Amino acid sequence: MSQPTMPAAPAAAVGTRTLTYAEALNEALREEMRRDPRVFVMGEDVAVWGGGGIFGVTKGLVEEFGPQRVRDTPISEEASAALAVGAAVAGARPVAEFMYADFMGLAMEPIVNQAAKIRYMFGGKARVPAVFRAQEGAGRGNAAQHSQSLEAWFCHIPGLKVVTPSTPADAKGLLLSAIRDDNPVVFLEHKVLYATKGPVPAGDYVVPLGVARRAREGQHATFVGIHTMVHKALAAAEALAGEGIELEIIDPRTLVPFDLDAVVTSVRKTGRLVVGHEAYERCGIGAEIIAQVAGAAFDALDAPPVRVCGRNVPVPYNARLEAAALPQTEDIAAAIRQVVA
Amino acid sequence: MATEVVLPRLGLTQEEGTILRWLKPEGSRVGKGEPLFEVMTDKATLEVEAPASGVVLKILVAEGGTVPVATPIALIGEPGDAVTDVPVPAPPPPSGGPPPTEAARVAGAAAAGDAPRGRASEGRIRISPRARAIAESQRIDVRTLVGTGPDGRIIERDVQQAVAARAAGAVQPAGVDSTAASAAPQPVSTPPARQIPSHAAAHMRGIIARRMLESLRTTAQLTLTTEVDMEETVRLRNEVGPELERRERVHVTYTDLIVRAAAVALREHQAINARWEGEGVHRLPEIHIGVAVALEEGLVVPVVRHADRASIPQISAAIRDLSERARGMRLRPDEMAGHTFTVTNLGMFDVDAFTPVLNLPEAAMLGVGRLHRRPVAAGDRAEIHTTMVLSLTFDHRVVDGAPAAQFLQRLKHILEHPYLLLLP
Repeated sequence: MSQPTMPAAPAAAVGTRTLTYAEALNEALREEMRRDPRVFVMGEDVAVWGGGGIFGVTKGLVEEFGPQRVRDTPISEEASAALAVGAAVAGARPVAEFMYADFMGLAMEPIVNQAAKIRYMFGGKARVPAVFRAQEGAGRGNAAQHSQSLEAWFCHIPGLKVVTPSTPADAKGLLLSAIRDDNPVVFLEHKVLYATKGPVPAGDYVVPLGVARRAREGQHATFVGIHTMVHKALAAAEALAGEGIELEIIDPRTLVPFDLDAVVTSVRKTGRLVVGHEAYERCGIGAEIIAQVAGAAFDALDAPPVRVCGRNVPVPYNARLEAAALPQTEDIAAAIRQVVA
Repeated sequence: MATEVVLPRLGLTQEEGTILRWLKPEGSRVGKGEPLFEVMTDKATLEVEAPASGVVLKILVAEGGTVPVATPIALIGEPGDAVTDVPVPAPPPPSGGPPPTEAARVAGAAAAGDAPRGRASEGRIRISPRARAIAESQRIDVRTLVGTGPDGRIIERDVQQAVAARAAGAVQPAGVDSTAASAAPQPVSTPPARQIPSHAAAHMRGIIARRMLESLRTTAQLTLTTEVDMEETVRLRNEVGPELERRERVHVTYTDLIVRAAAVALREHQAINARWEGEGVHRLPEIHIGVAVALEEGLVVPVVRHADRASIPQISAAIRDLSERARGMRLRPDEMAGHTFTVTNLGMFDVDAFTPVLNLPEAAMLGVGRLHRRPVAAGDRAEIHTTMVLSLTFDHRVVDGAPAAQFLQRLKHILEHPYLLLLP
């Protein structure tokens, strides 16, 4: 790899187009690679096979930036993650892709023990500005080993930032922030969202890490959810509005750092909290969010907070069973009705 | 190791109890299962058995003392067991007062020991943190509130309703608390034996006060009255009563017949046998009729279970048993719970009609007036008949006026054609 040089100043954001979530990620990678020569992409099949990863997020990048900056790796997640850590310490800004978040178990040592610890243990003399990208979640019949939502694993580790975009605009804006961050970021996309479309600002559109987005305004209950749960909650909110219940939906966008103020502000207004994620309920991020809200705003709660989460079972392959194991729109609506009762 | 005796929870709504009498004094030996003390709950007086065998090492709550459920009240063990590390429990704080001090909370936790801590929390008022915070800032006594949230939890809207009601001049601020006097235990020098301590009566009065106020403040209740010609019911009782007395040794009263008539009518008018729960009407599958019994200390309402399935002699026997035990304060709390409708009779005091206050959580209540002979129109002539006025209070949230009136009309019809009471 050639010696990295310094990045150009970001261009201003101009205009908005409709893109898919996958296209928005692709645009973020492409624009940042153009701007900053230190940025490179690596992972299984990101360059040659299938035209840019199994979901097309790195499509066309090898043609524009060449095989040195868009590197296919062997099927060895630990080696891949360790390589990214080393490159980041040496001054590059790697974006390492894992085909499924489920496979990141193989890469936990470099991510958890190296990437997350190095800056602290070297007293700030070394930094690890690496992004570990993967897609998680269920809904495509990919079965138990390819459908998990594992964000809680990474949220547990001090030194890692964890990002979970739910819209195309956030996918782009948050990925730019993640690449520019001087610390390791685990960037978790959702496989069902890749084909979803939405407005995406052109140019240098950055969404800061640690700032939640209010996806819907309401005054009767607060729903905090990530990924597909944001969209399911929006659908539930339509049904609930017909019953006179106005749901407020907060998408934290990043789980570490977490925008507790935004959630607390909403709960102070509504008095009721429901938290949702596809990840298993037990020890999921929902438990952490509820604990933080209870600590910060106990006297604002008018009902016990409720979790709407994946069941504590391996995600089934069978489509009906898979749907039953996942939190659905109606589950969210039922939980909201419960807390406003 | 000494066994701690804690104040048991004897009824669903019980939060505290008053020790009326220790049946085993300090230093005496008691066997597990033997009666140890008498306690007065919000609804009844009961004997409680010793949880373990041994010597009553120490009595922690004197006769007359009122303490929350799960508070340690005595120690049973063998002479020589250490008893010094159990502090005397603090009385419950007066309602509306400041939260317990840290020292008091620590003492309370220590007094509760290891296991009873969780049980102590069951006696707490179910209220959301948000509602509690608002109540404190608004100086609303949360003990006067009725929860309309899930499982009867007091939530924000209940507090806001009380704030609005106070603004309308309906409620005193929390600083003026009618039940505060009962909260402080008073030393009793000599055991009062069968007598109910005056402060315990005050305690019961406080509970009645709270429930009556809750009923009037949280429901949309109103009363319908109708006059019933009781000629046929009087005849039925005069003819069947002596037979039943001779054969079954039961004395049938008009209240018994009216309870039976109400049960039959309720079976046909299920909308009345219902309650308001959370955000909607909940119809109740079973018919259990409460019968108000006036005592010197106040009102109690024992319940006749499945009154619609009971025959007249069965109802008579049940009401007689319940009211006799009520007068001795010997009802179990569960015998006063689960009512779906209540009958109350003031006829013996020459009352014609009145406006009964709903016995929550039920949706309707029947007031029975006096029977008296008076002229009524029979065609174009005046005849002397025995008549009676029935007063039906109902919750307009649960049932509208027309169906409530139809129920009352059906009840009137049954009592005017009382052989219908004999149908199964």
